Amino acid sequence: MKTPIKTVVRQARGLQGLVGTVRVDIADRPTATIEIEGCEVVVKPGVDQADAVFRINSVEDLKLLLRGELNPFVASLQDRLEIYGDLKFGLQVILGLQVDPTFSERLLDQERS
Amino acid sequence: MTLDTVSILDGNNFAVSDRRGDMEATPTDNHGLFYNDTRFLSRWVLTIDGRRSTVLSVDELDYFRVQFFEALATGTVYVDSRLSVVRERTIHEGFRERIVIVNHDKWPIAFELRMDADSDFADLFEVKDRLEKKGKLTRRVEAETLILGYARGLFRRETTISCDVPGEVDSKGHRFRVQLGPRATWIANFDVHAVRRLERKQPRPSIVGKDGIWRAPEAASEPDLDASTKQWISHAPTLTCEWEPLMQTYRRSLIDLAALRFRSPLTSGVVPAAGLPWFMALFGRDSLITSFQALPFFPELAASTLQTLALLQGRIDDPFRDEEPGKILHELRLGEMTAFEERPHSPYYGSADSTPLFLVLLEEYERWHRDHPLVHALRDEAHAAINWIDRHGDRDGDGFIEYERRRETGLENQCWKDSWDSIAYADGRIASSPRATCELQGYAYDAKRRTARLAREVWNDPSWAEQLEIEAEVLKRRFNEEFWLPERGFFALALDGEKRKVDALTSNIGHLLWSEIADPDKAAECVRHLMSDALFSGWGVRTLATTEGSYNPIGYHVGTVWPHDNSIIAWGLRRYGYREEAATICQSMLEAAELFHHRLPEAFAGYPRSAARFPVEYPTACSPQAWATGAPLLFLRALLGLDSDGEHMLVEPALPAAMPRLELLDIPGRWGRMDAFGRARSAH
Repeated sequence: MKTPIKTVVRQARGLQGLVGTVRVDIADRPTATIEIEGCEVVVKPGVDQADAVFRINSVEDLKLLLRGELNPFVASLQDRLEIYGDLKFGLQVILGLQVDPTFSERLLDQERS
Repeated sequence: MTLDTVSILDGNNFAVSDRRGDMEATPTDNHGLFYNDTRFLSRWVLTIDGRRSTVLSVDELDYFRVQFFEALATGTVYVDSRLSVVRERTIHEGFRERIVIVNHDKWPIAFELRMDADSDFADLFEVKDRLEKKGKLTRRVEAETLILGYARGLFRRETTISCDVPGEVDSKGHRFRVQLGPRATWIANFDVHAVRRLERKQPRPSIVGKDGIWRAPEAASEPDLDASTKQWISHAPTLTCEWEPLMQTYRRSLIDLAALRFRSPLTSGVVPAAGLPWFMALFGRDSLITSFQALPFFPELAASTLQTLALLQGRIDDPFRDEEPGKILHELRLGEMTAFEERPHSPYYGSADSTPLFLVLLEEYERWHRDHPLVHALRDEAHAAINWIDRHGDRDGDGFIEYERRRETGLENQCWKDSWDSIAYADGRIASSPRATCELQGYAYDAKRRTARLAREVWNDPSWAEQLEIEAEVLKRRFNEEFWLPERGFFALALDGEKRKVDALTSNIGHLLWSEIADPDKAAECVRHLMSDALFSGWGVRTLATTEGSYNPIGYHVGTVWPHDNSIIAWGLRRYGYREEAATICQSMLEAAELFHHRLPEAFAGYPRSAARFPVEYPTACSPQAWATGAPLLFLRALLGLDSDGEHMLVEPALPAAMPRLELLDIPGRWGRMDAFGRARSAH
């Protein structure tokens, strides 16, 4: 059984001014929540109510996106990322996360229990 | 588009066929159904007993709907056909086609009708550059639906083709064996659907009502293009003029702007796509200029364009995409080559003028429409844009914006004349990079002055305003010193990589009038050149003067006449008080429009007017093209001298004799709606 994603708190300069929540669905399964307030971003397991939903093809793609190694438009065109709900907010979040990617070293490793 | 093709469109969904309605894509015929920069159908051919029908007439009902009237000819001098064929095609995430066959004979008839279909799923760039596909093409039949598919990794696209009349479906299309009684009619409705996300969209069966009119089962959720177009036109100011061709050109512009609208999912409004067929995408420069041209007519275009471009404003430094923080995008594409980063358009930021033009439009929009919530919301983006001009736009710190691509896949020229050979010396040699073209400096000057006003009057930031005004004045002084060519009496086209003046005489000097960066005495000399035989063809100002080494009347940016270029020049002439010259350009361009069936193309040839009674076509010009469609609107503004002083609408008409009277009613602005009247005055 897969354990949930670990909770991670980071400062993300590119999210300045944004407030809201994004749900992350991996391969159609609600998996995690990204909370944004000011420049602080919290990625945590579990699913809360959200302003937008990122439907991402795999955990690996989520990592690539958070590390700034996968362009969100490219991911979308390859059907590896879809954004639902408040599209504008979702796009601001995913593009904002590309600025000085704060998740670049190690994070969101899924572990097997 | 050439006159032997028929196009219907809605935003970035369009279909191009021959005049029979058939599509047969070849290296020279760009036929097909296109959606999101991908060709979803490259073959669509109707035959009856193996023969193609003869076209009688084409009725282009609306920009999104067309009817083809045809007959099955006998091959004799007299057509004498027993069967007539009507094909009605309507665009929407693919298209629907209704085929009506009528037996006019008093005897029954039997025939076999085939509709052959195929798709190469070519990216628009592959169509343009004739490249090979890298994925796998498939075809299958499921539940009487032909499904053409393409897969490359997770990138999958499909075209589903279904018909409401039972027939035989094979991998090449649909076949019907029809028995038609005397005077009887056979009707079939095809639904061709472009599918991007395979698991989420299913082909929609079409439904035909008792009246024979096609209706979609999800009609409530689909845009009603008819109603939308009528509403769009009804919101535009009303033009009255004794010169009928202008009335028709105006109406054509309103309809074409409606056709080119993108419904952006990112904002509540619409933004203009750049042009059919190559540029049905979001372009920064084109959207900004079109929105500027249309500001007194459709202010919502400006609002939506500003919001959309602000959302996609550059955030990071990315050499592949020529992206830099604060930079406004050049072009966003959605096809396969962009998806696999074989092209940098996700989005591509290789445009040095989009960023200052963003600020120009923002200020002009506020001055006309006083939308303070939007202007306040875009304050940070305006700061970022100014920072881009100062830090990234001015790459070497010399005070001027210059550009140079950072990867081979980028654009060599990142100004509006973005073909490879556009920036050349008078003797025809190509200038070295980085290149600082003159109009970029004008735009930067104008952007700083305008942003200063917003800083002072809207954002309550007088110190920033003062700083911007000082920077603008320094830029203007240095520009007039360092770009002026005293021996030729006009501004250099550019400074090259070694800061040498690129001394070609071009239409770019007209943009300097729009920006008001030219000193009045130098502007006067530029006006003399703009109206000279070397630049003014009689139809409009050429991109490059006939006296220059690179001049070619059918060279894309080196001799052709561009309507949007001329509209900017005409408006610039008005800003310096050259009323008659502005009116001359407006009139000649509108006369050219009449000869292009009231639709100005992207560009046309630069042959002198004395050479022919009509303007000569440029072979691959886009039409409709957004900023060519917007040009007549800016010509009207120039003729009536429409402006806003921040409170009131100003009207200062200067009409040519051919337009004795001009009325534009219900012009929207911060004043609500107002009317403008003008009449030509005799020389004395």
